[in-house]
Amino acid sequence: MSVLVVAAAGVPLVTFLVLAVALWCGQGWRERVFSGLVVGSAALSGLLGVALAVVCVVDGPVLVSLGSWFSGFPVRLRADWLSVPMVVLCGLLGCLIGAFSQRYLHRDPGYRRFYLLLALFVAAVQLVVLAGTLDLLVVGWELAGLASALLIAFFHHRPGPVAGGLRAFITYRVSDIGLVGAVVAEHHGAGHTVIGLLLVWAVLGKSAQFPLGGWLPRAMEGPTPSSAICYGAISVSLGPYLLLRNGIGGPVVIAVGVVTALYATLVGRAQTDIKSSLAYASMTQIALVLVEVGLGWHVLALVHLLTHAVLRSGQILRSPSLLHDHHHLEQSLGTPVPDTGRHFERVLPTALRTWLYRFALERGYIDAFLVDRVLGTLVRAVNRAAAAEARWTHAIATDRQAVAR
Amino acid sequence: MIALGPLAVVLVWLVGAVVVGRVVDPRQARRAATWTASVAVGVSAVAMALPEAPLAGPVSAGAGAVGCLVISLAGLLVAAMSPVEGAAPVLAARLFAVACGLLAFRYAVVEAALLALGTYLVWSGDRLFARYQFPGALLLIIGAVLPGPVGTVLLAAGVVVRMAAFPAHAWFPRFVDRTPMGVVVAYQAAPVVLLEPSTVVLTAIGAVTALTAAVFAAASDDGRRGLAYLLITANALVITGASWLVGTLAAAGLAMTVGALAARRESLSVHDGGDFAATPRLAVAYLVFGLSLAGFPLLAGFAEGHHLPHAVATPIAVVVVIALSVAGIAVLRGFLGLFTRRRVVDGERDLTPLENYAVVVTMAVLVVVGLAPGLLSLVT
Repeated sequence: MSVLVVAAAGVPLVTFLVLAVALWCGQGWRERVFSGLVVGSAALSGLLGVALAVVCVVDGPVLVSLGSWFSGFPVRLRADWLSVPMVVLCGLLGCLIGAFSQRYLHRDPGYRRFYLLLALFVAAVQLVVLAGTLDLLVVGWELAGLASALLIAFFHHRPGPVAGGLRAFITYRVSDIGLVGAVVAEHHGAGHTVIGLLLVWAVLGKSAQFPLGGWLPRAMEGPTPSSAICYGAISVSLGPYLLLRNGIGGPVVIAVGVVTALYATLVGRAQTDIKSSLAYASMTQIALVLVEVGLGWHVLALVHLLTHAVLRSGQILRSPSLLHDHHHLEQSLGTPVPDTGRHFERVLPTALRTWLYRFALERGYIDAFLVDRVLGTLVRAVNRAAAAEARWTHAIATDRQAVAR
Repeated sequence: MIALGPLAVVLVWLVGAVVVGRVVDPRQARRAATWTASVAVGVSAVAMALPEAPLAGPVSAGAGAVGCLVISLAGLLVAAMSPVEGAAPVLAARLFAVACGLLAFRYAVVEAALLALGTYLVWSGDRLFARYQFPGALLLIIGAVLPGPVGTVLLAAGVVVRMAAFPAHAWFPRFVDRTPMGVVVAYQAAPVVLLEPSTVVLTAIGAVTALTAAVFAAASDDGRRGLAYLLITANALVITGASWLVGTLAAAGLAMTVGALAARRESLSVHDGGDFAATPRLAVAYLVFGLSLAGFPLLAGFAEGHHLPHAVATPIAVVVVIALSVAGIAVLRGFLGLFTRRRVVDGERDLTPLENYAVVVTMAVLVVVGLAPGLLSLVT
């Protein structure tokens, strides 16, 4: 059975490596061949997940120990009730997105680059969900972050996607300190509480939770198919998965979930484009999953995670056809589609509604505070120090030739 | 101990310096330098197969050959990727000979003297460089001669100055800015860490330097200045305890990629951008070398990035983890800043076949060691 587990994680990774070498060597494989390999490997990985599900039902969880990658780095894979559904979801969604993109990105100059990054993303996620140790999970986690950031910046001639990709990567790296810190803390013999808090910090960035969620709506600048798999379905789901896998819950997780859910549902209502609106909807649902995780309702959290992933990626894939779909809906209903959120008008006084609307439009002032006040202040201070140092070195460094003249 | 394998590599570099110096045409000189570096890589690879145990008395055959391989690979990058004009290939070859000499003669005094020789060779008259590096070389020599704690303190101070650790770093950004990139890489390739005494203070200085330099690199708007701070980060991680082999190779690759880019365009401002579509291989090389330096998975730096925080005290581990994270941000900011957001119409060129040869060989080593980090511990 260990072959199934290794293959589920290894097939997309090998595909990525083969395609990376081929692309570097300038192999002019046809679009269909290139994308076919990625679609096929993702489908195979998903089907292996289905086979693993059968094995798990019959024989129970499968634990595979592959020795050490290097000294002090055990390689263990685990297929159980938690990881197998995620393997199936990621594999089959990767296959679906790959097939969808064959037409969506047909003849795009970055076609092969997209599929290379998609292969890396699927490989990384399969590694995260099948990892039996935190050490191995870090490998997939960081690779998934890199693939996500590069997919957001896919349309590299436009400044918006590039800025969005950089912002997502910065957020990932800042929150990854929590995950790597948890691994180090584990090796240094720290307590469960410390490790739990560090993991929650890691989740804040990856799953776009308050206050680090500002990157998610900007991530929608990437190609729609990658938005669907990364930010509608898989990438944001890795946070709750991490907590479920490590048995982390309790009041801190619930608090993060509640605050994010309130914030995201409010801000999401003031968005004027569908992808931003869907981004905040994703944030809200993942926050609710975190509440379930915090309360210890693990099975409900997993079911919620999987169903949300499927629904949201479907919605994002359909989002470019929103007007078309809306017309169809109105024709079917025979009347305009009713507004949502009427209860706010009934419950809240007008003055408060106005304030909340402004608060939502400004995204709670969180972005402005974090980017301009916190990060901007740090960057300005560092650049001032660097400039002062350059002036000082310039003053004391006179070339010998200049002195001679 | 005297190692015959590294000594053979030293001879290759010295002969290469003479040969390259006699070639008048700069393009032919670059080709000759690349041949020299290739031969040095080959000799180093052969030397790795020789036994490390002493043959007779203090004479060994294969000791230090892995280090020579890494230095020669850095030399290959320098030879193949330096621009035709203003590359100083002879000086670079001599510096690589000095760097390999450190591995051939394993006596502290000789090593300190060789480092001082390297400093003298590089000095071009810059007063700032002289004010930092000559006292640093003197500290290393006196530290190597004097026994006991005084010698240790002087050696540590010399290492801090030579490797541009805070607070003795101010000379380095200007050095990177005004010196041919190949010379910077060759000067950095010398394994100063062989002289490093194991002290907690030095480890702490390394960690703090790594974090501070990474923050400066991430905030920098200029690609060359950002590179200087990333090289300081790489040095500082080595001082903290990371492998100098991986650090040297990744830093050399990153530096030469930036050098090749600087030869293609006037400005290296991250605000000006570049065209990934025009220079995809150059961009990917920057990313791979940079991420390897920042300890990213599947690349050679990952195992070190994983080991290092586990091997040091908790406060230092925290600083190292944050430093690696910020270094990753600096690399991706540089990548996106230098290779995106612009459509190049003036024919900016991707890697030439010669550059591609050096980059492929070096990246292959980083990726293979990244996929199988056990190889590194096996050969060392």
